[in-house]
Amino acid sequence: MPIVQGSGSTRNEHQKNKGVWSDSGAPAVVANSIIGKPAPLKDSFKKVTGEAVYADDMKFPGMLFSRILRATKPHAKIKRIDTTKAEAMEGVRAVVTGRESDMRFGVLPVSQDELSMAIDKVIYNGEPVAAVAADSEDIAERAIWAIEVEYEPLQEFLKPQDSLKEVAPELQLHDKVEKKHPNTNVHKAVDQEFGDVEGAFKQAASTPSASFKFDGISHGFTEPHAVIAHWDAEERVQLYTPQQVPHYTHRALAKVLDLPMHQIQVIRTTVGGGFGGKSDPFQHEMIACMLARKTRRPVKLTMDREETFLTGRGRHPTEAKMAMAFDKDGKLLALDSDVIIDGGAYGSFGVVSAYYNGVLSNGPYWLPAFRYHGKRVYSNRIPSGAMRGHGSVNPRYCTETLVDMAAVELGMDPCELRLRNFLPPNSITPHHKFRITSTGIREGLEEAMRRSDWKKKWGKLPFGHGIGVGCAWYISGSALPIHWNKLPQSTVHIKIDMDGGVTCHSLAADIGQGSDTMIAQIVAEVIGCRLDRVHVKSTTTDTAPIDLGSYSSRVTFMAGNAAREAAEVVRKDLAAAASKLTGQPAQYFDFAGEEIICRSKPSIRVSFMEALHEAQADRGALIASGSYQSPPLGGEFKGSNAGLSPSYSFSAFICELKVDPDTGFVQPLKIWAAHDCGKALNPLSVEGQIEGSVHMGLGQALTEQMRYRNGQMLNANFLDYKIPTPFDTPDIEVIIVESHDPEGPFGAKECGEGALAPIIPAVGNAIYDAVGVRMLEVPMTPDRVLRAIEAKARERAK
Amino acid sequence: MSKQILRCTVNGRAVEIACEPWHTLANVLRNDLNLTGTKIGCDMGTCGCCTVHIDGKAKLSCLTLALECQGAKIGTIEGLNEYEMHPLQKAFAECGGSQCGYCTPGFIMKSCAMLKENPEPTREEIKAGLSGNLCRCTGFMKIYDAVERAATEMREKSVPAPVKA
Amino acid sequence: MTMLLPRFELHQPATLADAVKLAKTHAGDFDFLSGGTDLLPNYKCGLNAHGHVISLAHIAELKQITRDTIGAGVRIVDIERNADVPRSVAFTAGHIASPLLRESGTLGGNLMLDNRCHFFNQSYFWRHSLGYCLKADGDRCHVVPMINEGGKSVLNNKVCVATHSSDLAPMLIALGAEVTFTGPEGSRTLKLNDFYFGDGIARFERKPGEILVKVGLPKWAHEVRSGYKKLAPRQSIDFPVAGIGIALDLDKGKVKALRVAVGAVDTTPVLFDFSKPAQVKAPASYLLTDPYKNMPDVIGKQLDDALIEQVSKHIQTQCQPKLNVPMEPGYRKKMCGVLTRRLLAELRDGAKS
Repeated sequence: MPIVQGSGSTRNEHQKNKGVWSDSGAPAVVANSIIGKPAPLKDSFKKVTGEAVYADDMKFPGMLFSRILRATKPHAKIKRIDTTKAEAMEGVRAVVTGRESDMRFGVLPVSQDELSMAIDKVIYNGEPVAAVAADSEDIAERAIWAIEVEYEPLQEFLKPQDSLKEVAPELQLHDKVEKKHPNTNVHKAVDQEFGDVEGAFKQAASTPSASFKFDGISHGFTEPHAVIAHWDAEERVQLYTPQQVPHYTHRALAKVLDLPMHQIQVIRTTVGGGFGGKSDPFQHEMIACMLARKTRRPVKLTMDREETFLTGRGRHPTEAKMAMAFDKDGKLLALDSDVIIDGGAYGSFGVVSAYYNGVLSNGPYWLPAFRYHGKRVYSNRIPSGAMRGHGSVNPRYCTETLVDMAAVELGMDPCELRLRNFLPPNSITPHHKFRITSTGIREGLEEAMRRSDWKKKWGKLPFGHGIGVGCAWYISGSALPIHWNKLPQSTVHIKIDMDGGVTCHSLAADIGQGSDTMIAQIVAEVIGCRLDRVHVKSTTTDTAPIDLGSYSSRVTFMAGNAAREAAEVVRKDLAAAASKLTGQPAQYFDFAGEEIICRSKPSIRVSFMEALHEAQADRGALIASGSYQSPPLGGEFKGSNAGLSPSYSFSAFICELKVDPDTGFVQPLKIWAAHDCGKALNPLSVEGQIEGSVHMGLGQALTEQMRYRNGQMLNANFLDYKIPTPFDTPDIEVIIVESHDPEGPFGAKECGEGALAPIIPAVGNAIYDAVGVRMLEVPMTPDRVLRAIEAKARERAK
Repeated sequence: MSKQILRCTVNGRAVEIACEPWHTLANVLRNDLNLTGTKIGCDMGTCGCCTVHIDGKAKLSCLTLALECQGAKIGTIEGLNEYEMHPLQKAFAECGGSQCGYCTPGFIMKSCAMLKENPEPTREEIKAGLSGNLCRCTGFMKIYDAVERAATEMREKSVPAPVKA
Repeated sequence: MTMLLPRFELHQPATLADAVKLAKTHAGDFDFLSGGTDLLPNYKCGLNAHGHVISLAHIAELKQITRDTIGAGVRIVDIERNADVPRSVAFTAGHIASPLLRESGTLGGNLMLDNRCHFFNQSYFWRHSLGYCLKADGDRCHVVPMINEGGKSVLNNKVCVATHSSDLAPMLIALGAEVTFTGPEGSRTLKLNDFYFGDGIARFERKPGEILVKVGLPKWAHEVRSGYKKLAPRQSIDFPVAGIGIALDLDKGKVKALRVAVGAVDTTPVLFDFSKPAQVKAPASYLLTDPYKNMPDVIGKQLDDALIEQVSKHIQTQCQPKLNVPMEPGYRKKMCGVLTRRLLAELRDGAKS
C-alpha cells in the first residue's frame, strides 16, 4: 500500500480541545485495526450476485408504468395541450400535465425555478411536458405520443453570449435573474476582488494568460434514472429513488405535493452511480408521485439512456479567460479570471457553481491577490449542475495550464514552481479565510515526482512523448448547509440490542462510494467489535436521522464524525458496564477484538456481549446519537460562505503520455496519482475512488463532450458519448497521502472528487511537453490536438 | 402476431414461457423471470451491463430476441452462485471491483466466459476481453485485479485431485 | 424503461430455401435479422421497422468458414479467430465494435450494416424534434440541406449522404472479394465492390428477397500483402469514422497491383484500384468520391516514399466525408491520407501477410 505521510496540524492539541474518541484522553489505540485496513465494501457481495435491488428491479402488486412526454422544442410557447386521445386509450390510467402543480422547486432555496412539468412554455428540448401512467410501458409509450401539443417557437438561447443580452420579458427563461443584470438571462453573477491585482500584474516577471473553452460533460452513471412512487392506503407517499440526497427530495416533495414531510417516506434504492447526477430533487420524482396520487397505485418510471442524458445536471459548458502573475522566483502574486458558465434551463446547484468557479482557485497555492468575474447564464439547453469536482474542475485546468506556462517562461521546472507556492498546513488563506488544517500536497507531489522519474523525463523525452503535472484541492463538505438552520449536517443513530447486532441509522447515501462501510468501520473501531457485527441502515427517511447526503464530498468527514460521536456514547455505556462487572474504573478500558480490556491489568477483560448485556440491564437496547456540524469559519463579505469547508483534500498527479503528431491521438501511458485524504479509513476504497476519478477525468480530458445541434443533444447515448474504454485507460498508480486532519474522523478527509481535477491539466501539460502545444479547448480530441500542432508548425514557419 | 412459447433452460432450470416476438432476452429475464441481476444500462449494446451466457458465450441480452434463444442454455449472474459464491463474484467484491455495482453482473459474466476460453489471461488480454464493458466507477484497475485473482483461484481449484491409490 | 422494439412477427427458417420463400411472401414488409447488433438498435429507435423479421440465425448453410469462403452467418468473433482466412481479414474483424458485439454480429450483418448519420441514428423523440430526415420518415437531408439542380440551389429532398460504416467491407473489397446471393430468381455472384451502389438509402444493388450467402476470396487475396487501419474516437466499441483496407502486390519493390478501399467516408465503401481497370465502376457510382479523377500512375513503379505520398495524397484529396458521424470531416479526410501512407509503408516494409 503506497502510503505517504503528509503534514497534519497539532493533532493531539486539537483532540484535547475537541474531546478525543478515546475516553481516557490518551492517544488513540487503534488496536483492532479496522481503520486503515482494506475492507471490501459491505454491500458489494449483494452486487456481485445480482441480489442488490435497484429501483427498476422492484415490482409491486398492481404496479403501473409511466412515460414522460418531453418538449420537442428548445424554447417555445405551449399553445395547446390535448390529452383526450391518450386518456381514452385502453390501459391508460392517468395523464398529468403542468396543470397538476404550479409549485416551483429546486435544490437550492435561492433557485426554486423548476416545474414538475412545463406550464405555458418549454425551455429546453427534453423538458417534461406531460406524463402517462398505464398498465404497461408499451401502452404508456404509445399514449404519450397520442398527446397533442402545439408549440409556438420562441427565440432560442443556445450561446452563453446571447444570454447576457437584454431581452423582452417573454424571452427571459425565468422570472428571477441576477439583480446586477436585469432583463437578461444571467442567473447569477459573482464579482470579487481582493488584494492589489493591478499592482501585482505590473510588478510581475511572468503573466501568462489564455482563453479556454470546455464542452459540457455528463455523469454517465450506468444506471438510468428510475423511481417508483406509491400513494398508499394510509395516505402516505412512498418514493423509491436512487437519490444521493434523499433529504432534499423529501423537502421538495413536501413542497410540491403540499404535504407535511412526515407524510412522505423517501426510500433510497441501490444507487447505480451518481457523481452529482442524482443529487437534485427531480421532476420525474414529482411526476411519479402525482401519477400515484391520481391512480393510488404504485407507479414505476424508468428512463432510457437518452432521457437520462436529457435530465442532465452535468458539468457546465465553460468559457474562461484567465491570467496569473508570478514574480521572477516563481512566487504566485495574483490571479484574474473571467468565467461564463452555461447553466442550461434551470438553476440547479448553479449559484454554488458560479462561486466555486472562482473561489476554489484560491488553492492549493498561496494567492495574495484575486479577481473574479463569474456569470452563470440560463440557456435553452440541458440543465447543468453539480458533477464530481463541482465548479472546481474547469478553472483548475486553466490555472494549472497557466502555472505551467509561467514555469516555461521563467525557466523553471513546473513541479518546482508548484512546490514554491503550496498553501502550508495550519494556515488561513488571505482573503476568503479558507482554513487549511492539514495538507500533504508537498509530500504527494514529491512522491509522484520520484516514482515517475520526473526529473529525468520532463523536457527530456523525445518529440511526441511527454510528461505533465497537475495539482488540485477540494472541499471535504461545504461548511454551510444550503438550508440555513441550526440542525446538524449529519446525524447518526446507533441501536444495539441483546442480539449483539450494532445497527447504525444514517441518511448518508451509499452511492457505491462505500459510505455504509465507512460508517461501519468507524463504529466498529470505536467499540472494538467486528465489522460484520455492524449493520448500516441508510435508506429510509422514516428511520434515518437527517443527513445532507452524498454530495460535495462531505460524507466521510461529516457523517463519519457523527458516527464516531454516536459510537463514543455507546463506548461509554459499555465501559461503565465493564467497570461494574470488574470493579475497575470505567475510564481505564480499551476496546479491541470484541473485548473490553482493563488497560493496567490486561488480564482483566470482559467480552463485548457480556458488557452489552450488563449495560442493557433495566434499560433495554443501547441507543446513542451523534452528530456533526461545521465550526464557524470564514470571512465577512457577501458570498464568504462559498468554498468554506472544515477541511480540504489535496492532490498532485503526473501523467506520461504519447501524442501521435500525425493524427493528434493521445495515448496516456501511466498516471501517478497522489491524493491527500487525511487518513485512508479504507485504503481499498480510497484507491477505488482515486482510480475512478482518474478514469472519469481522462474522459473529460480526451473524449467526452455533450455535442449539440442547435438545441438538441447529438450524442445522448453510450455509443456517441465517449466514456473511455479499458483500452483508453492507462495504468494508474495511486499514492495515498495521509496528513491526519485534526478534525476529520480518525484524521480522514475527502477522496471522491478532488482527485478528478488534476488529471485534466496533467494531460494538457504532458501534451505540451510532448509536442509543444497548449490545448485551450477541452476535451483534447485528436482533431483539436492536430489543429494545434499544425497551427504551431505554421507559426514556426513564419 | 402472437406470443410464442420459449423453451430453454435458465441457470439450469427448464423454462417454458410465452414471449412476444419483439421482447429481448433482457426484457424476459428481468420482467418475466424476475432475474433482475441482469441490468440494462444503454439498451444499445455499448455498455455490456446486460451480458449473459447463451450456450456458454457471453452475449448482450439487450440485443438478443428472447425467441432466438429457443432451446438454448442461458446463464445469468444469479446462476453463478447456486451453492457457493463463484470465485469471480468473491474476487470482484474483495478486490474493490464493484462500486455502484450496476455494471458488475455484466463484467462478471463476460469475465467468466473469457476465463473459460483463456484460464490464464495476461493483464492485456483481460483488458481486451473486457473492452466492450463500461464501468463508470472503478477506472477498471480493481476489475483487472479481481479477474486475475479469480483466475488464479479457479486454476488452483481445477487442479485434478491426486488419484487415490 | 427499455427502448421498446416495434411489434413484428418473427420467422425462424432453418433453410435458405425457406428463408427465400418467406422473403417472397412478405416482400416489402420484412427485414432479415442475423446477429441483431445493427438491426435491433435501429428498430429500438423506430427506424424503418417492418412487420416481419426473418431470422437467418438458424440456417446452417450460412455458417461455413473455410480459407476461401466465409458464410454470411459466420460470427465476427469466428472470423477474428480463424487462422485460415487472410490475416488482414481476421485483424479487421478483431477491430470491429467490441468483443461482446463481435460475439453476436455476423459477416453478413457487417457488410449489410445500415448507413449511419447523426440525424438518422436517433430515437423517435429526437427525430420527431428535428422534423425527421430523408432516410426515415422525413423529406429532407439535414447534412446537405441544399443541392444544385440545373444551376439552381434547391432543397435536398433526394439524396441521402448517410455513411457506410463497415470495417470488413473495405478490407474485403481491397482483396477482391465476391459475394454470392440467393433469391427467388436463383443465385448470383458478383464483386463485393459492385454490390455497393447509390446513396445512403439505396446503399446497394439487392434484388427483392435476396439473401447474402457467402463471401468468396480469390486466391490472390492470400498471395498479396494486405492490411487495415481504422480511425475511431475510442479504441473499442466505436464504428470507424474512416477505414482503410489495402491489398498490395509487389514485384521486387515495384507495384504490380494496388487496391485501396476506403470505408466510412461515403455512402458506400470506395475502391481506388490503381491498376485502373478498363471496366471500373462508373464514376457516378460513388456519391461523393471520384477515385479515378487524376489518379496517379503507380503500376510498375518502385513503391518508394514519394510514390506512397502520391497515393495517399490522392486518396485524401478524393475522399469527401460529411459531418454526419463523429469527428470532423476535414480531420477524417486528412486521416485518410495519413492512414493510407502508414499502412502502405507498413505493407511495403513488413513481411507478406
